[in-house]
This record gives sequence, structure tokens and C-alpha cells, in this order.
Amino acid sequence: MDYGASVSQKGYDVKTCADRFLVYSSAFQTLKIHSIIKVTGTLPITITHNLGYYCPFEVIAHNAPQYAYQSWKRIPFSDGQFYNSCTAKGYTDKIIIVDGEFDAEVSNSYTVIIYLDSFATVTEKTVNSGTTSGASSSDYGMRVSKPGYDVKTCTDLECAMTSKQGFSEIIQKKGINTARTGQITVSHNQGVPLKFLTFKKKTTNNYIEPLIRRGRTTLSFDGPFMNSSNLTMGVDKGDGTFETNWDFYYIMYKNRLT
Amino acid sequence: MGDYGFRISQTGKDVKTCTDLECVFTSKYSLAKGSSYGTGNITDMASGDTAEGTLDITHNLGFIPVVRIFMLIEGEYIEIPETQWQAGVYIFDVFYEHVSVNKITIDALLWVNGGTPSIDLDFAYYISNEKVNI
Repeated sequence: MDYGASVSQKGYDVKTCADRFLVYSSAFQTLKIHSIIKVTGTLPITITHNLGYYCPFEVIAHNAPQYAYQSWKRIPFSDGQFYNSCTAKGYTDKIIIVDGEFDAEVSNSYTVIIYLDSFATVTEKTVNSGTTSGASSSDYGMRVSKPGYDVKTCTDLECAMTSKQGFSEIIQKKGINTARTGQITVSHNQGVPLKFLTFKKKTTNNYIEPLIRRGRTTLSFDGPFMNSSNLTMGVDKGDGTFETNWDFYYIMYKNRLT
Repeated sequence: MGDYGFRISQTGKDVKTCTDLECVFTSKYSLAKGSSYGTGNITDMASGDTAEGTLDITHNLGFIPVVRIFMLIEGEYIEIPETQWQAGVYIFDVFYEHVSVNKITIDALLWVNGGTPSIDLDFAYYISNEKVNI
């Protein structure tokens, strides 16, 4: 059955614009925010969510004067020498911010974004990715406020959705890869590179960790990386070969990188 | 406040009885909202053995937002905040910083082991409308 709802960005015709100019479409799964929390203290720091499943999350270390060069950054990050900053472990009921491989606590204050969504499989859909913008000078739109805020007077920040926003975290494809064959690729068939968010889970662990590229030298030195066809992920042993006891949790967004 | 809102269920789920996880949208939870996105480039940094280039991205949000920045290397996009990259005789050190509540700066440092290369780094960025400095 062909029905649904779409909301375009301000200035774009909802009937004709390419999918990437939509801030909302019921044809695509969206990424919803469960909570945004500020936590302080020395590591480890535990944030309980009790969702009962592995959920995507992001942790941003606050700026700390003694580490001014690090600014406000998502953790973990690499120093280029195969060491990570402090990182986070995502359990089915909580997230714990912990020291990294190099005991690198980078701040005493963190913002944690927990998403409501799981990694249940969403297969890629055919996207209207043409260059037709459907640009329109008409000024109209739609907004939905968060609970407790007046939709007529609240700020954009207090909206659950507003067509004024520049883009949405609309999911093109997500899932869990359990091939355990070393470095793996997941196709997306979009013809353009897509924004992504990835996690890894060691088969013997009961938590997920953000998967970032670390180290240097070649692309085969850990993942993830993205091209116009595939998302590639792996955990490098340090010698150019890959461990085979990791599962990979991934989200590829409708948002493109070119 | 009364109990009202707006929800849209996934295909095949009853919007009145499905869980929040089975909704493609529910006003109970905010969508992850984006503010702006785009691409940028740092070129011609090289000058001798060490060189440096920056790319300023102004967003004028008035707060520190969540950002995602990706860099194109040999046909593949990797994410920074901070990473080193060695390609032949070049070593890149690329990171970003929130230099104010209105601007992000991407810094790219380069060490060169001989030669006078021409540098051309492409970036894609997504700046959210979600506040980090809460």
C-alpha cells in the first residue's frame, strides 16, 4: 500500500525534491534521541538507560583547559600512534565511560547522547538521490515540539522535529554483521559515500564500543571507512591482518558525504 | 499537561499500540536534528618539510553542537576528530576544534620527508542542532 508522510526542508518542494532534502519521511527509519545527559567526575562513569538492548550512542568530552587542543570531541579518538583516548562501553542497560588503551582520561565532564533505536536490521532502500532540489521560495513548514514545550513559542532546539532544520539522521541501512571473517564490507548500493556510525563487539564481551580508525600507514589499518559502494570495518591485529572475533554494529545514513 | 502527541508507526505496526521503537517518529523523543552540512577543502599547505592549513566552518548556532567530520583519503572517507595518516612520504595530522560557539576549525598539519608535494584534502561535515555544552 502506498501511503506515508514527508516533510521537506524549508525552501524545498516536498512533492518533487530529492530524498536528501527531506527532514522527515515515513519511508525511512529515523534516529531518535532517548536522552542527552551531562556527566562529571573521574572515570569510570556509568550512565544507566535500561533499554534492554544495544543502542547507538555518542560521547563528547568537554573542553578541558589542560587539554585545550582537544576541544570538544567525540570519544574515542586516536593520537595516531595506535592509542585511543578514553572510550565508552555500551551495555544493554547502561553506558560506561572508561579509560582507553593509553589511560587517556581527557576531561572531567562529558555529554552522552543515547539513541532510542536498536541495531535491528534495516535494508537499504532505493533513494531518490538526484540533483533536483525542488527548490521553492514558498515559506511554509511543519514543527512538532518536545513534550512540555509549546509548539507555537518554543525554540527550534525544543522541537522534536522542525522542517526548518537542515537535515535529519535518517537511516538508509543498519544492522549487525556477525561474519567474523576479519575485515568485512557491507554494501549500500547508493553510488555515493554515506555518513556512518559504527561500533564493534568482541564475541566474548557483553558490550559494544565505538569503532574508529586508529593508527596510520594504510587503509587496511583498522576501520571503518566508506566509499561510494561499501562500508568497510575491521579490527587490525597491528600487523595488517584482522581479528576474527568481533561483530560489527553499523548505521549508514541517508546523508551523503559528497 | 495532558497526554497528547504525535506518532507515526513503521509499516505493519499499529500506531496506537506499537512500542516507541516501532515508530518511525514519535514526539515523545526528539529526532536527531541537523543544522547544516557541507564540504570543504584544504589545499597547497606544503612549504618545506612542515606545513599547516586550516578550514573554518561558521555555523553561528551560539552553542557547541555535535559535529561529525569525514576526510577523503585515497577514495575512502574516514572520520576525524583526530587522526594521523601516512601516505608515502607524507604524514598528515588532522583534527578539529571548536574555536568558539559559532565556528569550527579543521587543522591539518603535514610533515614531509623530502620533496615538495601539492596537498589537496577534501572534507565533509555535518553539524547537528543538538547542544553539547549543557
